[in-house]
Amino acid sequence: MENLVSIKGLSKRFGQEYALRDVDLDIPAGCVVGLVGANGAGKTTLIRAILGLTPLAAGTVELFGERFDNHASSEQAARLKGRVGVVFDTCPFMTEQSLFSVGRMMAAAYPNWNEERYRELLEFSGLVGGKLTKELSRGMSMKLQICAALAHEPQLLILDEATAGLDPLARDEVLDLLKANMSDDRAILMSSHITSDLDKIADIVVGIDQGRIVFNVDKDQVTDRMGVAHCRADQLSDVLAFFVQAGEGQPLLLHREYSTDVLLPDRFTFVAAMPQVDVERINIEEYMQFVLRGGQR
Amino acid sequence: MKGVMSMAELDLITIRGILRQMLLLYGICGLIVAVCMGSAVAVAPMLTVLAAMMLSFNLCAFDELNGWARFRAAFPLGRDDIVRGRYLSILILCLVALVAGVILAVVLQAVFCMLPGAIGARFDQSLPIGALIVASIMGICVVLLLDSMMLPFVFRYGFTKATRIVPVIVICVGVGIFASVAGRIDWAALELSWIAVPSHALLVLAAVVLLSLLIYAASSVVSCRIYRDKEL
Repeated sequence: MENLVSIKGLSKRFGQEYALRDVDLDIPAGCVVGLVGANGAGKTTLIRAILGLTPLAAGTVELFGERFDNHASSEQAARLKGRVGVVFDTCPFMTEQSLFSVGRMMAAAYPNWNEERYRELLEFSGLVGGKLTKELSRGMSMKLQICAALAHEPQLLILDEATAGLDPLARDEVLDLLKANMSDDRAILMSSHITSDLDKIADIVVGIDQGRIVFNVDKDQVTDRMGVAHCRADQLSDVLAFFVQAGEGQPLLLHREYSTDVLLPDRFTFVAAMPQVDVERINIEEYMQFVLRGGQR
Repeated sequence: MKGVMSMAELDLITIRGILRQMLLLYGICGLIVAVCMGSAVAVAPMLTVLAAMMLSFNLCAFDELNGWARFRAAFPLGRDDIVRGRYLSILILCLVALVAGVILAVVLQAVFCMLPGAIGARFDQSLPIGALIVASIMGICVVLLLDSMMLPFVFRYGFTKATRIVPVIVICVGVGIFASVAGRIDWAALELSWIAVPSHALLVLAAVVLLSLLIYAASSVVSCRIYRDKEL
C-alpha cells in the first residue's frame, strides 16, 4: 500500500521540552488511522507538523512521497496541500459568513473545489446554505467543516478532535459522513479523545504519550484478537506461568481493587488453555490504559 | 502569483461580511463631519484614512478568531503567498477606501448644495476635487507606512500583541527621529512656496507614493521571512 504520509525521526521542541520525540509514522492509502493520547501528549503538534504549520527540530515529513515542511514553496504547497482536507476542533469560519460564502472562500483557496459536491454534502448533512455560521450548533459547525474539507475530494483527510463536544448521535452522523467518503486511494488521520469513535472507524490506532509513539496497532488485532483476563489473586501465578510457557514473556498487568487484569495478545489461545479464568474482549480505551498505565509484575 | 491572488481573494471575501456595515458607519461619520464643518472637503481624506486603517486592522484581527490563521495555513497556499496576499488585499482595501471617500464627499457636496434655506446657504459651495484627491492619497500613504511598521509585528506576534508593541515603537522611533533631525533644520529658512505650483505638488505626491510603496514592499519581504518560521 502506498503511504500518503511518511514520518521519520520527527522531533519538535518548545523551549527545552520535547513535544514530539523520534516519531515514526506511516499513513497508508485506504486506511483510517486513529491517533489517541492524553491532553498535551502531542497529537495536535503531530498534525501541525504533517501540515507544515510548525518548524521541526529534527526528522522529515513526506506528504504524497515528497518532503514537506513549513518552508515549502508556493508551488509545492499548492500541489500537496490541495490534496489534503483539514478539520480542526473549532469552526474557523467568520461568524457573519453564510455557508454559501464559506463555499466561495474555499473555492478561492482550492483549485479543485467542487461547488456541486459541497452543496450535496451540505444537503446530506442537513445544513442550509443560506444560514450564517453563528447560527450553527457545535455539531452542525463540525459537519460544515467536514463538508468544506470533503468538497475538494481530498486524498488525505486530517481531523483534530473533530468529534469532541458532540453528542453521540451527532458523532455517529459525522463518522457516517467520513465512512461514506473513504476509498482505497484515500486515507484519514483522526485524532480523538473519544476512543469509541476510533473503535467504530479506525483501521490502525496509534497511541502517543509525552511526544512518543507508544503503540501502533491494527485495530482489528486489538478488538478481535486481544483480550483481558480478570484474574483473582490465586489465579495470577498460573496465568503468568502460562505466558512464560508460551514464550510470550511478561504480560502487561493492571491491578484493580479485587482483581488483576492481564492483557492477552490472543484471547482464544488463552481461553483454550485456561478456561477457568474470566476473559473479555478489549477495546481501544482499555488497550491504551494497559500500554500507558500498565506494568509488568 | 496564483497563491497571492487566492489569499487576497480570501481576505476580501472575509471582510465583505462587514464591509457594508463599515461603509455605512463611515457614511454617517462623513455626514456629521460635513454638517459640522459646513464643507465636504475634509470628508474624503478623513474617511479614507479611517476606513483604510480600520479595514486593515479588522483583517488582521480576524486571523486570531477561532484559529482562522492556522486553518488558512492548511490551505494550498505557501506561507509567502499568505503574507503577500495580505499586503495586496490591504492595498486593494486602501484603494476602495480612497474611491469611497471621494465619492462620498462629492455626493455630500451635491446634496448639501441643493438643500434650500439656511443649511444649503451655510455650506461651502466649492469642492476642490484635485486637492481632495491629493489629500486622500497622502492619507493612504500614511496608512501604508503605518501598516508597513505594524504588519511584520502582526505576522510575528499576532494582532492583539502587535497593537501593544507597535505604538510604543512608533513613539520611540518618532521621537528619536524628531530629536535627531529637528535641531539641525532651520525651519524658518525652508522655502516651501514652490510646492504651491501644481506640477511640483504632483511631483512631491508621486515621490511620496513611490516611497510609501517601496517601504510597504520592503515590509512585505520582512514579514515573509518572519512568517516562514512562525508557529501556527
